[in-house]
This record gives sequence, structure tokens and C-alpha cells, in this order.
Amino acid sequence: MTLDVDSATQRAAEAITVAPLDLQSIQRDAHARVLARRLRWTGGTAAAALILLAAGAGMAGGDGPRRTGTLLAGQPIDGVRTYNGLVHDHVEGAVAYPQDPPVGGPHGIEPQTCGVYTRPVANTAAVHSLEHGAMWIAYGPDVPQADVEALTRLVGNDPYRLLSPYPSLGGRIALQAWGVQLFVDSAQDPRVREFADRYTNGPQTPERGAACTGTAAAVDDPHDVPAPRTGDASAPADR
Amino acid sequence: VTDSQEGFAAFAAAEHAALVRAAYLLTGDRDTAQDLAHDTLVRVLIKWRQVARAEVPAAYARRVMLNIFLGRRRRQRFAESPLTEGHLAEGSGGAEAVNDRDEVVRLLLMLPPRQRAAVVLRHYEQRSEHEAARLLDCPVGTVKSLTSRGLTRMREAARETVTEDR
Repeated sequence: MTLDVDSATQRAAEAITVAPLDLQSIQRDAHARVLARRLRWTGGTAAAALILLAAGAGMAGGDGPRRTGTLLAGQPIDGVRTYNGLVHDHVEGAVAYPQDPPVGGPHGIEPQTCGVYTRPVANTAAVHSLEHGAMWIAYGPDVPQADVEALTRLVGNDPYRLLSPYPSLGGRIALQAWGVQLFVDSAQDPRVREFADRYTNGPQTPERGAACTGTAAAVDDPHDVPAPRTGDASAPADR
Repeated sequence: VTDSQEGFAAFAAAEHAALVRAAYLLTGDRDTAQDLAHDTLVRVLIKWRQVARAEVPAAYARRVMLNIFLGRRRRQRFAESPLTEGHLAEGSGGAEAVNDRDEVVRLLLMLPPRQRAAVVLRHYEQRSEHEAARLLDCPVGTVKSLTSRGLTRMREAARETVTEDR
């Protein structure tokens, strides 16, 4: 018997039925793998910190665990609204969020790279950044320039802080992290710093430690989706 | 969705079936092949920005797939299987009726994974010795010997199958 390997392999390979490509599951798994890799990186440090914290609480006496809990949670910041049960789906196209600005929910494939933007950013990208631990400050067109400068300093170069204008806010400032939101009328409000300190990579972050980098595209209306990128997105284009 | 994401979607749509088919020849199992192609595309997506810039994505994807395949082999998932009575019983009877389409997959499965990969690259994907060497990350001479040993072994096994069957 002769064996024609070339044609036999062709026919064998062509004979199987190939299930349709499932792009979404590929994207989901890629996302999960990147995340797992980052967690492996930070996991050791985090575990050590937890052990130290637990040991410290233990040494502090019988009420240790409760004290640790209070230490982590702190007193609620006055006026902060919290939202639970937000979904994490990746979607293409615009999303109608129940909150404006949004505080979580379905989002685009790429996070908005954290930093200071002088034009609006897409809600779908900003929400993905929130999922990764970003503290996002959005301000209306009537917010005084001095306040915008103060917020710019507050955001600074922190890799988990995002600042962008938001047309529908008028004279208000909205601070968001995943599942939490605070509206204030002035950047001088002491709660602004409290919120920023507590919720930059805050404990309520679903994917804490994942990078706040992705697209740097700006949009005209935050309710749009980012336009296809042309350049590199390693830094916000509109700083 | 950005340029790069759209680029990946187009690439995946174009290459997916070819990856699954090649993976089927490597693994001999359709579901395992689907999984292998899936894992390959996941890894390609993670590196997509660099991949799209640096080289031919299809070649990169082949290398990733072979690395996964040959790496897993160490954990004995895709190791060669001896040709058993059971394999033959599944055929439709006499030697003449043995479907060489199924036969070739059984014969491939008897080969050690690197020989199998070399035969698939050279004879199914019709890659040059040079390309196969790059994809397998070995010298051209090694591709030649892997392929020729693989083919010899398949031909011998094919003859044995015929004689045993009679």
C-alpha cells in the first residue's frame, strides 16, 4: 500500500467540521490571562501584606479583626453613592448607562489610559478603567479654571487617576470609581481629596492592580465610542 | 474598538479554520484541535500589537501553536499512541477499504510530536524546509531528519497495518 501523505493529510484536515470562530471568548480569555499574570506578580506582595496585617491585628488583641475591618473600610464619605451588582461585559459600540457619568457596567475592550485629558473621553473606555482601579474625575464646562487646575494637580501622574471634561455636568464635578460616585460643586470641597485617596485603586475595584492603560483617544461626546486609533496609545494624546 | 483590535478580528477570521485543521492533524482529535487553536489565538491577541508590527502574524501564530503543542507534550497530553487493535477495529474492514483519510491521522498519532509537527508542516502546510525550521526553531538538517524519519515510520506502519489485517 502506498501512502500519499500530502493528499491524505489534505483530505483528513478538510474532512473535519470547524466550529465557528468565537472572538468574544478569545478576548475574554486573553483578558483573564493578562489579569492572572498581573495577579501572580502582585499576589506574593499582597499575600505578605495580608499576613502582616492579620498578624498585627492578632497582636493588637481580641478586637483585632474588627479593627482591621474598620481600618480598611473607614467612615463613609458624606454624599458618596454606591452601586452594587454592576456587570463586567465587554461590548462594542456605545452603552446607555443609568448613571451620568457612569460608575461601572458593560464597557469597551480597551481601558482609557489614565492621565489628564482636556477633551472628553468615551464612557465605555473610562468604565473599563474604573474596573481596573481608576479614580475618574469628570468636570462640567462651567467649572472655574482654577478648580480644573487644582484637579489636574490632584490627578498628577498617578497611573490610576483620570481627569476629563464632561459637557453635561454644567458647573459640577463628578468623581467616580467602580460602583461609587460623588458630586461636588467645588474642587476645594475636602471630600474630593478624601474620595481620591480612598478610591484610587480602591478596595471595591473588581480587577485591582490591572493596568489603567489602553486607548488615549478623545471624543466630542462621552456617550460616543472612541474613534479608531492612529498613533501609539502609550500616553494620553490630549494632555 | 481600535485599529489593532479590528486587525486581530480580521486575522482571526482568516486564520482560524486553517489553525484548527493543522491542529487536528497534530492532535488527532477535533475538540482538542479547537482548544489548541483557541489557546493559540488567545496568546496571539495578548501580543497582538507587537505581532502586527514585527512579523507575519500567521507565521507567529504557527509558532505559538507549535510551542503550546510541543510544550504540552511534556505533560503527556499529545504523546504518540501505539497503533492498537482498537484503532484498526474502527476501520471499515479489509485493507482495501481502509480510508487513508482516517488512516493518515492514526499514523501521524504514532509519531513522536516533533516528527509529527515536521510532517504536518512540510506535507500538509507545504512549508519549505527553511520555513519549517524557523517555525520549529531548529536547524534545517533537523527538519529533514525529523520529516524523513516520520515518513519512514508512517510508511512502515501503513504496511504493517495492511499485512496484519490480512
